[in-house]
Amino acid sequence: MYFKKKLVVFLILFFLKSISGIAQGFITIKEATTLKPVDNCILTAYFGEDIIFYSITTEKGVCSWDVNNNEKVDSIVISALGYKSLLISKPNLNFLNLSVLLIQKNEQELTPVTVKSKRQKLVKINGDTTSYKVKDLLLPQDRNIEAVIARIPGITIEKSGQIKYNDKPIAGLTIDDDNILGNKYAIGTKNIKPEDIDSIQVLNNLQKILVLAKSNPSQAVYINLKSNKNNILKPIGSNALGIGYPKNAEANYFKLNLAKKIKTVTNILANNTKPSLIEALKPQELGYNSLDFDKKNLFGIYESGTTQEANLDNDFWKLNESIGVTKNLLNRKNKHKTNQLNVNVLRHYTNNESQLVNYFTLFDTIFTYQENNKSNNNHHNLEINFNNELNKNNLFFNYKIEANVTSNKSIGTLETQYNSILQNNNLTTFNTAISYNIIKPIKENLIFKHGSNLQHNNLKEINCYNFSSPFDIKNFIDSPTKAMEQFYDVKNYSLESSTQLIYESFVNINTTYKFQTLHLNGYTNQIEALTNGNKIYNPTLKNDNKLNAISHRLITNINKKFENFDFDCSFELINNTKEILVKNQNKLKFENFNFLYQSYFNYKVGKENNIKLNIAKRQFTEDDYLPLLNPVLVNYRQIRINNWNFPITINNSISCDFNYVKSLKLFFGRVSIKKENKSFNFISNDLLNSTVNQSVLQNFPAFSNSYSASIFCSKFWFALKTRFSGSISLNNNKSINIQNNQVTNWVNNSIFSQINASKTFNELLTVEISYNSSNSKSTIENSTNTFANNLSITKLSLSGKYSQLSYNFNIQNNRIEMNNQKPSSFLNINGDIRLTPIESKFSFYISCLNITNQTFFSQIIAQPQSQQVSNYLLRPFQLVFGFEKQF
Amino acid sequence: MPNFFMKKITSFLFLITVATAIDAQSISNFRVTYLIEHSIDTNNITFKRRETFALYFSAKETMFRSRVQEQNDSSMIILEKKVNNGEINTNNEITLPIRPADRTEYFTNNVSKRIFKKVGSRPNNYIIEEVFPQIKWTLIKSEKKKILNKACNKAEGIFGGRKYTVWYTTEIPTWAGPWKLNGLPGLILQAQDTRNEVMFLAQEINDKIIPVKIEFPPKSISATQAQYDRMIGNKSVISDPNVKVENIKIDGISTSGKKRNIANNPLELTNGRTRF
Repeated sequence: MYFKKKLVVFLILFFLKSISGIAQGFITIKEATTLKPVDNCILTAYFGEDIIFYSITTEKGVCSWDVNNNEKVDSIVISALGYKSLLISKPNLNFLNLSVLLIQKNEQELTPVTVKSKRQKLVKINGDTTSYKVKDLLLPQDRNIEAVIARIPGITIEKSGQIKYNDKPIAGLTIDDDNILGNKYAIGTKNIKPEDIDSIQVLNNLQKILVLAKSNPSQAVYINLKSNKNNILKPIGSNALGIGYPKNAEANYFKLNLAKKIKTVTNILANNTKPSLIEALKPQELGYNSLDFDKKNLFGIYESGTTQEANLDNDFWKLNESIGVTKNLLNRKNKHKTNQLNVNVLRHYTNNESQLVNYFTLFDTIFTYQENNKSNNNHHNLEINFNNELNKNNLFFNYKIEANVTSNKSIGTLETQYNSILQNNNLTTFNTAISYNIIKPIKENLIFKHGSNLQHNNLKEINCYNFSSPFDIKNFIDSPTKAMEQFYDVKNYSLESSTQLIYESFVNINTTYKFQTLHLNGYTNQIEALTNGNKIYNPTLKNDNKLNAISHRLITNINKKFENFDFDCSFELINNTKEILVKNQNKLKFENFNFLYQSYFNYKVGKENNIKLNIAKRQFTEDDYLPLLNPVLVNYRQIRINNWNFPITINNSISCDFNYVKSLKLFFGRVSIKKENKSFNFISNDLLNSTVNQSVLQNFPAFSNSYSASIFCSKFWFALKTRFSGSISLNNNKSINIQNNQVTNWVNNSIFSQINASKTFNELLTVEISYNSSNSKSTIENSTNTFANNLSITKLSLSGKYSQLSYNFNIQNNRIEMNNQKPSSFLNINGDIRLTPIESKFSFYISCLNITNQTFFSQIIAQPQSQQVSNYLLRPFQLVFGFEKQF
Repeated sequence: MPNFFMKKITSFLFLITVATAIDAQSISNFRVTYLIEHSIDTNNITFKRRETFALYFSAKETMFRSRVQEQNDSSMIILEKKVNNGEINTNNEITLPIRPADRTEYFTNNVSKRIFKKVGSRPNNYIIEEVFPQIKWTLIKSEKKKILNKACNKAEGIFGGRKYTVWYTTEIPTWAGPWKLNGLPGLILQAQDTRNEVMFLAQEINDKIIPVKIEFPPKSISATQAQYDRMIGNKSVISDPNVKVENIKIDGISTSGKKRNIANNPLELTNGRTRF
């Protein structure tokens, strides 16, 4: 009874309270694990961000509220020092009343302890430069600096030595801010000892560092190796020798003196292989065989990486027989053991008298092995017999390669390349036979790249036999590290792992050839193709091996007018193939001139001189990127549009591959290329004056190399250029690097002069640099123009707070002869002034290219390449002066 | 003699109760530094005495004291050790670089709802209990601002004869605040009275200090305010050692040519004894 009365009284009070419009409540807050009440815990009721009421718990963990019923509460936060806050969204106060809430202790209640490492900071970031101390990254097993660089975050290094930073190839690698290696930086990274390097710097912004890259600077990343002062790198030197009349030949000798090894590169080029010897060594430079449709002198789509030819008159082609040989040696000091041999032979012959005979051969071999110093029984022998013949009368072509590799050691990588162009011949039969006799197993890579271009022939039969014996693909399956690639115009044959074979086959088939049969016999495949109506290709792959995946790609070249063309490819796979990748989905609609392709294609449309479109594309693999001396790379990316008199829109999916594209050349037409949402347009109506706006192309790293018609033909010239580079260390952290090039001229009309000087010091200085080419005057005969020869640069005064200044002067005097009997001279001055307070560098670059002449300038072109001039950055500018003289 | 002992015993017992009123285990990881501006002279209301105080707080307790005094105390401890070790000759005069404006320290326990202040200076520290402030705060919903990058809410309350406008942050969930101002659902970072005579403004919130124990100074003597006043001779605020006699302005004529400020405007107007 008593309790009933109490209950009645309570209910009455509660009822009265409710009528009065006051909501009252109590809750108890306890610690979740111990269930002890938490005092001084704050309950805060919010509506939005406004605090409606709050309460602080007592010693017993109880808090109360007394709030008007009109007040709205949308959240309650319970918080206390040392506890995790508890949020109650859209609380029901009546429901919460008399409840017990549990809150958890904040685990991070410990007193913060700062542990200071005794080790030095691993990374030092200064502006755009990130520096890593080698000793912090070095492991005992590191044999070269490449292994150390590979540990830098964001950097990956390909097998070929190519360094990628954030999946993009770096622009270059410098040693003590000196870009002595160029694109061949793998020579350095693979051979420089880590002990010789103090720190590795990743320079993220090319604009502030180097003047070399003139395009797309924002994406360029350089790596600089700071040499150890105690073990400074030895000087390097290079010699260039050129001779010619009427055929030119150049020889280049490059020597890099490393700590324990000597790297020597010998390069001999003949006949217009490239204007610059150094350029010739760049592996990724793709040249052109230009098309002259007016004279109907077609040099098909096939290209070589080492030819750089302009479309001049017929006389030019008579000289165009070029040979390049490169020898790349890496020797141990005092031991004279060859570790690497690279031989490139390029021969390109065009005989205009025979009209339709173009002959192009190329042979490239790289032989690399790892030397074992402890064994004296190393014996390596690479013997390659190269034989080809062109018999125009018989319209028959035979081509044969034999390679015998014998070794008592296993072979690391063996790579061979063969390319041939046989166009505009009346060939009816094309036979190739390539055999390799490899006794020892190959551990890493075996790459054969063989290409031929057989356009504009009357071929009726092609027989290609590869991998005769005893080369067995099963050998590769056994080891996951083995890879093989065979490339046969464009047939790509790669085995990257033990379970996957990527097979790519590119076959150019022109329906006008009227093939009877086409046999391509590979080791693991047998393809038969018949030209039967529109069904061009019907290959059959016989997979006799235990392969899990085969990727088969195909190119067709169709010379036929279509309104709509759908290409279909089908093939059969036999045995255990589990996965088939077919990427031949080409659709072409000529009504709208829209291209959409998802694979490789090579289309030729319409009649000659009317509408022509050849687009060839081959997807690169990692192995294709060879930063070392491997100037022979086959034609892979080109877009050519000839005599195109209406806009074309090309929507393609090759944008991501444009990183590898080094050049784009468009003749006689207007092209609109759309890449994602970025597009650019340019018109090129004149072959010789075709230019690409760099700023427009910045979104296309592929077009970083602006193209222009190169004119490199002289009747007679001879020059010797030597370059010497050394380092001098001074006290007080001052260092001076001096590079000097002395020129000896034996024959008139051409000199190379170059002086490079750079200073590095820590305080503001005023520098005077003077240069006077005294030798030139006395050695050049019949020269009255001494403008460049006596060019003197004095008193370059700098002011400003820059802690580091560097200068780079380049004065060149060269003869360029243009066309017949019309030699011309050019003086080029390239300047680049960069003042970067972050990097504290200042560089100045001048290059003069001049030909002695009596007449004076008849043409002056000033072409600033960028309008952007800020307080700290003056973009590269170029002045071109030209004049002519009649001999 | 019995009276003497009784007084001692009473003091001793009181000290025990006082000592237990503060949890010796209470440790603060926080230190909030406040700049206090106080117009001590009603005749020269524009003159403001400025001093930096530090607030230490745990879940239950707070300690509020002069930062200058802290530094002096630490210096004194070192000096005492050196004197005891004979490293310093006591005949030499020892001076402290800065003299704090106020040596009073405040200890608040929100569980037992007791507040103490420590007066005097080393080695004679006296602990005096005061009335725990029960401020009825009015929350102002509409106004918000940021202090020291903490989102703050506004509240108003009356204490010590002054109406304070305070800004508190719920990002630090404590009832604590500077001086005797507390009881809000977050740390008080700014408080200003409506007459613009008193202002507390947080300068720094440091939650990574070396943990500080919230405890009375060692060898503190418990006392009442009356006892303490008697001990120091029941001096008025004018007899504050901080104020020198010769600076007093009498009948408009100053003993010196320079006008000096008189501390006649205490923080707590209703108490009057509290000096600042």
